[in-house]
Amino acid sequence: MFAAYIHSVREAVNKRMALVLIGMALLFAVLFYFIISVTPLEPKDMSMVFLGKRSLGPASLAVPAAMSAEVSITGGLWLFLAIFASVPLLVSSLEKGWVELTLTKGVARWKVLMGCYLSGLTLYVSTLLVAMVPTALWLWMKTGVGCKTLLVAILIESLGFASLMSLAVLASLSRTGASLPIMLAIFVDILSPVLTNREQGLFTIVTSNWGRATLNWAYKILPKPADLVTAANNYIQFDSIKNWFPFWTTGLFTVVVLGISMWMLHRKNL
Amino acid sequence: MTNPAIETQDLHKKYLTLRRKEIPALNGVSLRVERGTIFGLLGPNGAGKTTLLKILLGLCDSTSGTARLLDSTPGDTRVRRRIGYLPEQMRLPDYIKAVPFLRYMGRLNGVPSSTLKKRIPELLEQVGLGGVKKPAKSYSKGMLQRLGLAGALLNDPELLILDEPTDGLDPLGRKQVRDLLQGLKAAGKTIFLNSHMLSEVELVCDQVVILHQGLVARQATPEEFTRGTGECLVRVASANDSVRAAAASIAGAGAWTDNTLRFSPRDRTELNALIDKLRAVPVEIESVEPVKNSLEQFFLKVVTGEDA
Repeated sequence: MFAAYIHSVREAVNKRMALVLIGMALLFAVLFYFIISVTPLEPKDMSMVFLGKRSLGPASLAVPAAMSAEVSITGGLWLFLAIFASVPLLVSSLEKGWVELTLTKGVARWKVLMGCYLSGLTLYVSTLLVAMVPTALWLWMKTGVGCKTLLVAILIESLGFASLMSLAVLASLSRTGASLPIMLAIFVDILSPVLTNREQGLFTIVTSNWGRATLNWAYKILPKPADLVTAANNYIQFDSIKNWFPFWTTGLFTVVVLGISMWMLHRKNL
Repeated sequence: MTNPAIETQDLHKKYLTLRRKEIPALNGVSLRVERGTIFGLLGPNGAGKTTLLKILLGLCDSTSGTARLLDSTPGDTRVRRRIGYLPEQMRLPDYIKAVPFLRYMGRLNGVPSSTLKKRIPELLEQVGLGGVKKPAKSYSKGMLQRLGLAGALLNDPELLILDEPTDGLDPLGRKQVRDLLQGLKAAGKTIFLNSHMLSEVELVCDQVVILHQGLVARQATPEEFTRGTGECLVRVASANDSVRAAAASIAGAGAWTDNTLRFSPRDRTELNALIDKLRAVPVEIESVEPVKNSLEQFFLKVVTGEDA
């Protein structure tokens, strides 16, 4: 699995996907550097943080708020970007002419696919770190207020990405190219906030009991990247997790879908 | 007696279409590949060769029947580490270079890094790719084939399964591959060769199977396939009327084409008698050679049903 993982990471770098994503992450970090400003106050150990011209308040409150804003933005945007960058890694690992080389070697099929899946996750987490950690460090140096919760928040967001990637793994087994896995993952990502806020949104259209029950079940079963972004936000600001439901359901979904995918690949006639 | 390297018993494979229609690919293939031999698999397109290879490599399951490789089942990952495989159509990522490709293939097969470090340059040299640094996207078909061959040999396999190994190679490259295969055979390796190059198969294989419509149509040695027809060709310096008259007294049914007489002697005595007659004319005899079937002729007879 490690060999497949390393190969897949190299592929991401060589196909420029990783480099583009890292470049964008750096751009993101620079952007935040310019829009977040810190103004020292009297007494000297106090400072005010501004997001553009808007004051976020004293540093002790503003640093988590600023990082929370960053997490919200990256939570949505980065999922999209990383899906576009990572799914081709899965698809290329199952391409005709290549799969005959890799899956006839002395390694279980699932390990090859899992290596590619993990490299996609690595790409996501590492670029998210590049995008967000410099801002956190800069704020810490300027204000003395650290944001250790940011790392946990990134892991929380990564769970959402992991669940969408597991769907992409399942779809990539059809071996029909990258379109289907990308579309499926993005569809579920877009559906997530709609289902989370179904009572304010969809329920105004869907009035039948069975329709609402279906939507409730869909919410329960499907991964919840939107809820996880909210949870990551809250964790940065309040250092606690109030609702574990999105965590365990998304985790369970990921494990089950990955398990089914690996089993299907094991059984698949190539 | 040692167990064979490959053995299949009544192997069937049916593909299902989306409308649940069954398409038979193999209809009961039974064959046995002895260790330390070069075994050729021949057959027209659609005969089931690729399906058979896929089953042997564990890429797909058979519908019924059994297949065993190196005393185990095809899907066994431990056995796959003892097999080298060269697919017919290799598709490498554009960016990949020879050394990283081979390193990855080696690692998937559990070859230690220290061995790979030593073995990769040796193999690249052996297949004629030593010093090639460019990425795979700029490789010719022949270079890809050579790289694939190096990949198949990386784990020093007991059994090599090669699908069209000389495809895309120039005559020199084909000769190098033939020599390589002979060397591997001498080292005790078993080679299972799927090829359309009948002349290559004829030159290197110990046993040949012709697969047709999902069945083993013939299995024999190349010598058996190309055994003499009983006819011979006698070429003389000049076939004038007196030469033809002399020949007619012995080889009445023979046919002349320019200066060459084609006829079927009943035995060696009759052939010698003909030569004596011709020498007595006198005429110079340039050559006497038996007419042999080529493997290609035999193959065509089998697949067109003429051999039945």
